[in-house]
Amino acid sequence: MGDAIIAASDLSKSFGSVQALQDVDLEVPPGRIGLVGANGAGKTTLIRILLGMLAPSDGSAQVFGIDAQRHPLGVRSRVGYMPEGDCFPPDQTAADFISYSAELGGLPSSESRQRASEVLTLVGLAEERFRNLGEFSTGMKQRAKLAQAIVHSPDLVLLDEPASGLDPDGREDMLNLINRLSDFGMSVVFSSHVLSDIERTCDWVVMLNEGRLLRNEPLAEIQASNAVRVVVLDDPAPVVEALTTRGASVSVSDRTLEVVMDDADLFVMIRDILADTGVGLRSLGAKQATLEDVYLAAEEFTE
Amino acid sequence: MTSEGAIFDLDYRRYEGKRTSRTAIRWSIVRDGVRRILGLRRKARRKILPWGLILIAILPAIVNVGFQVLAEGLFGADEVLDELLISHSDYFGITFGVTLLFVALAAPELMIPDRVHNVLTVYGSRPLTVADYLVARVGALFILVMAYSLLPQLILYVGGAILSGDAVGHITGNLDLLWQVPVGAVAIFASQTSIALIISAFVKRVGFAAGIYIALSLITFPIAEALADASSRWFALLSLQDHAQLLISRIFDDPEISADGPLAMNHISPWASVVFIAALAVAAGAFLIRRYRKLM
Repeated sequence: MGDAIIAASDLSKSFGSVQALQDVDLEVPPGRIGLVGANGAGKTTLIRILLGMLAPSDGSAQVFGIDAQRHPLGVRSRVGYMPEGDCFPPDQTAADFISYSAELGGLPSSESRQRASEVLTLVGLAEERFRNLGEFSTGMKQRAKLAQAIVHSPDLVLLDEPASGLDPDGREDMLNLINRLSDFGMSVVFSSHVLSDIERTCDWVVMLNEGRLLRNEPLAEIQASNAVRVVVLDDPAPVVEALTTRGASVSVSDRTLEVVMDDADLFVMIRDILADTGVGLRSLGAKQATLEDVYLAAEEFTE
Repeated sequence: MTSEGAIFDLDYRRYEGKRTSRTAIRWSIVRDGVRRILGLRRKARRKILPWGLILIAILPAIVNVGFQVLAEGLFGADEVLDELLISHSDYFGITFGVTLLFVALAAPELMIPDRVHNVLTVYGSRPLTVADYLVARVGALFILVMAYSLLPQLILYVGGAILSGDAVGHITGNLDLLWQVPVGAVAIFASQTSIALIISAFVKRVGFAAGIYIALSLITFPIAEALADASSRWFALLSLQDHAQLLISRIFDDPEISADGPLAMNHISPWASVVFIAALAVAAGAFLIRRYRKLM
């Protein structure tokens, strides 16, 4: 992959006897990248290695072609990071801290105040910007954390569980904000164990489990499936029998059938069987795998 | 008369301007440290302690100069100047305790909140090293401790120049003060901050860290004294608060300032004290870098 923004080769990291990452090889293009995995899968470890905050036990990682261990400052000058936990001095106003964060990212102090104001407006904290961060709710803190991560206009933002602890409205707002970041020319790595958030936000998925890389490919490819989903109006038994007779694998749940059969035009076959059996059709379409299905299947496979 | 309308786009835009150097980033951290210690851009109650201590440090100088002006009017200039004005070396002695308190509060205030509130993660994700962060933080402490020590001395100096009625003569007659006072302030900074910074790298509460530091400063005096009496005189070096006094007494050639301390009592050379302070500073620096590499 020529234009990879993130690359890792044989990347491993262990903490004592705990193997946090194991032989991870990946190349990731620009865009919105979902970093998926259960708690303890190695997501935060990978992010911290990419920032040069953590040295790998083995292998190497590059961001924008820059070696994260040899030239961490080069990486950090182009990257923003939103940590999972709090990262604020509670006695400082949002405007002051975000402005200071901009200066730490290399913006002149004459610009940083204006930038802080713009970014706080973007994340919906314009009216709260002169309040102390210690008085912020969880949702407001998450927004302020996002603001400090993007205030210096990085090319890539690493978001570690940005929607954690948010109520449904707050989560919705956060996901919308993350979606908007690419409009400003930023690539996003969005780490989460909530797979539906990744499905809504990302176009590329990196899937980790117990430190191992399970999948690293476009979301659309991961979700693609050769199964067909049929919902019928009547008793599905005759359809199931006909499909099974012709060699298809069928799983039934109430009046919903999921049919898999290689080397066959399933849609034509199902249309013909429905016509022959006289069973009414409610819907027919390709089954889209959810990330959860894929994750569970991949997890099962590795076990 | 017509007016032209204008549309202002207040939405987010990428910053495409010039980026600053690492040096500029370090200065930002220094400025932030100075603001934090002084409670600037914070609520009023955060300003009470630092500014109260500053007031306590400069008040004797102001009173002294003011009293001098008053006395001059009553008794005549020549008598009063020599008899009443507190000397610069005496002033270091007078403010030593309050400077200790200032360092005891400033160092933890500078270091602890970043660690406890996980702000170090933000520093760690920016283009700066652990050494950049620590140097900038210590730089902020240096600026304030120097200012804290020098401000009352400056009031005394300017007051003395005004009262002498011959400012140029006062300056040329006290040229030694121009190096003695700053070097004395550096001695105070160097001898007092290393331990305060080490404590601040561990303890989670500012008040607790300040208490530990003050207790340690006070308790090492009798311990060093006892150990030096019972064993080797070099144990006198452990008396943390005595080093600054010994050095200031030598800088101003005024043995009275440190006469009662274990260092002077055990005839420890000021150079031995300098080596001890330098070794402590190097050890503290190495320790802080090691500790903060794990945290950032």
